Amino acid sequence: MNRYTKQTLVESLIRLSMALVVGVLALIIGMTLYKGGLVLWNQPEVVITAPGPMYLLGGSGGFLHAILGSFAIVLPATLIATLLALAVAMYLQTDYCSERFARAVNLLLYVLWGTPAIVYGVFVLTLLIVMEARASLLAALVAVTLLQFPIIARFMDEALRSVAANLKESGYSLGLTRLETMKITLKAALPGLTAGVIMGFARGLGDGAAVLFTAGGGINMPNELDDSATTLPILIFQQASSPYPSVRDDAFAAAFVLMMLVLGLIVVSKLIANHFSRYTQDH
Amino acid sequence: MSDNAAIRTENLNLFYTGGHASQALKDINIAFPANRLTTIIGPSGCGKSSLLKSLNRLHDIHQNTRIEGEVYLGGEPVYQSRRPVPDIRSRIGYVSQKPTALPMSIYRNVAYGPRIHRSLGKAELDDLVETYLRKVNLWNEVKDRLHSPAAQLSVGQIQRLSLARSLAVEPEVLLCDEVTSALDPISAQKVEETLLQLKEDYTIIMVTHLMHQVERLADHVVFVYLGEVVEAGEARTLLNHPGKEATRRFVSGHAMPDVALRATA
Repeated sequence: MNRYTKQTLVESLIRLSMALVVGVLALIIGMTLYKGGLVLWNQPEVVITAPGPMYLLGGSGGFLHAILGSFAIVLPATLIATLLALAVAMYLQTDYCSERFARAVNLLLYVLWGTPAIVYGVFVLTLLIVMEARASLLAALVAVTLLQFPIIARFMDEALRSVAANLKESGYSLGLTRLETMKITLKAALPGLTAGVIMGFARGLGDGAAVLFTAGGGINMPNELDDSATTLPILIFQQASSPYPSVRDDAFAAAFVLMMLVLGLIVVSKLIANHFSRYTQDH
Repeated sequence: MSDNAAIRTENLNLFYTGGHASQALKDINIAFPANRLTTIIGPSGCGKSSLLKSLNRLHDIHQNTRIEGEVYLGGEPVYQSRRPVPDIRSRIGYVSQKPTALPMSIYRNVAYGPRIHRSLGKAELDDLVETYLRKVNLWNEVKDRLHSPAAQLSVGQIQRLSLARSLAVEPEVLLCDEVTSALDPISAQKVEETLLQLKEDYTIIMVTHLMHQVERLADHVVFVYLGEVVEAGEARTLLNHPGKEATRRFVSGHAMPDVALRATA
């Protein structure tokens, strides 16, 4: 085949794939935004109203309980996962452990990252059964932490690894201790570290499987740690499988809110990364 | 000569262990005279940087290295020492080949080391930052933006900032690893001018592969080849009347045998 024909052919296939992917994405996002937007336009109060007693059966009220539930579970989960991941990622650097050990741990982290979220859900559920406890906000928090930890840890490890070796050398040769040098490394890696936290947060916020069996899924407002709780993905699951059309429509509104939250998070992470990258050398 | 040596090595051996095991330095016995500028010259991959980094225990931060022998800093052992390694390193400044800005402001880059080692007031720190930025001829270029990120400076400015940062810790010896190799000719010249001024007050040990730089700056020269010190002495003597054939070949710009086979970092 002629070189130029080959180029045209391959590039056409690339364009086609691109169009397909973007088209599907646009369809999903567009439909959610349109149908969800319509519901929210007509009844914006669903976002700030607690559900009525018959909410999932077409009754009155909104889904404030799921929005609050999401934050009550995912915010502390992200905080705990971040602290654990940061400690692990710091330890995996050459300053602290051997390359062989770091490679082994990273392999395990990849495996955990690839583990379906439902496995974490079932794991925590098993614990609950053993401990004769009920599904609760706390149980969901644990499941989400487990889900987020490998993601954040891998991101942070990569971010720390990408810090130039000569930055560390400069730190050490100023007479800094290992910890003081690590502080500088952390600062240089801040854009990447932030990205890791946000990715973990977004994943935790959007995941349904980890919390499906562990959160409880009631329509009460989240109050105590051992209360049943609902997150947006659980709510969308409940609404979408409802026989009532009005409830199914609300699922789009909930999906709209979830999408906006994730989008907001990503924008915030970009802003933070931009702010800190002024301090990182690019030459 | 060893009487006024600022730093000297005794039977220093460096081994890279692990996957590509090799011996990078072999029985190095060399004294670096105080308040002079000594250049370490030699073909690439022959142990110049390895020798430099073994003087301030910088190999310690990497896995897979092993050191035998000793380095004496003003008569005090560097390796078999009870003092914490960071305390020892703070007495030996080091500027790397790649200009490096710490991820903070220009001011904090200079103030960072001193603040950790000594307790200083705001006014003292301000003075100190100005003193060292002037010492490296950077003050006039940055005095109006001391608090902006150091990463925004040019590479040449960052290299002079690295010098100021190292000097601010008040080391007894300053190690420079091919400090001009990443710079354009004008920036390189500015760094050289700075080093010429600094060598009045400091013991400087500098790795370079530029013979012109050696001629312009060096008081003393150490020629390293295949991990061994072939010859060391007064710059003029060594450059004009090399005692060994290998030295003669290198300083006159001849190809060195065996080098390509042993190209390492």
